[in-house]
Amino acid sequence: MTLDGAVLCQVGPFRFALAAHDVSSIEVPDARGVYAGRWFGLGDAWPQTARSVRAPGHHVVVDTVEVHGATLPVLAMPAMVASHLVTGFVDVQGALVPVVSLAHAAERRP
Amino acid sequence: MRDALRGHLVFACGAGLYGVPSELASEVVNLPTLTRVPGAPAHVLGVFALRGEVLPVIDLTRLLGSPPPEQEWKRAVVLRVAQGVVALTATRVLGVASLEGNGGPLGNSGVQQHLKGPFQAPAGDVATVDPEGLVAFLARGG
Repeated sequence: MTLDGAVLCQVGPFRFALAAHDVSSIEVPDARGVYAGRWFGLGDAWPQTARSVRAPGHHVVVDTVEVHGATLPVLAMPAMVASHLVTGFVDVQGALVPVVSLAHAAERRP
Repeated sequence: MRDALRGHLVFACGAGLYGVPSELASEVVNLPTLTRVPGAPAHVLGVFALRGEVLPVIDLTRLLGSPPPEQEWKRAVVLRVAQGVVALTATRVLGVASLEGNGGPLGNSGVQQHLKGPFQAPAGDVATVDPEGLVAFLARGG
């Protein structure tokens, strides 16, 4: 399995990836946004420079985004880790980054 | 009559000593920087890649509700069972020992049902971990 293009999102010191084909737009967040930092225990407040990453029917607010055009192999999620958000991991410059499904995230708000 | 359990890898995790069947303990690793897993339970400290495989690191003290050590976790015991691979945090690895005693399950529910003890080892009382039971428990969400 591969990820053909990714939107790498940063919240505090943490990163996660979204499949590029899932992302419809990157915008300035509005007050209804849900901050992804909550997934990492960072609370709800996002910085002024934050961006809202939107997929059809879902959106999430992050500190910064970086579009990654390469095709990345996806490493399987270990069966014994119960996360409702993560579908696998990609190796970005030697670091593992979790791949998050916005559809899964929307089913269970962060 | 006292039984003997042969060949358990004994390691310290916080204040407790634990044993796992040595044939299922594939290696002891120095932990690299871990990747946090959003949405995972608190006992999942993170994951790391080992030879192309993603391994979750489980903090046994959090899973058991025991006080964690003051220092950061530096080592882990890698368990390999049919259902998958998992790394259990360790403060010290004491080596392989035969365990003596007739330990029973430490509890009837939760993770405690997958631990038995106390067994006696040269280093002190040890609780044994049933790796298959523990991994199945974790797969259900811990």
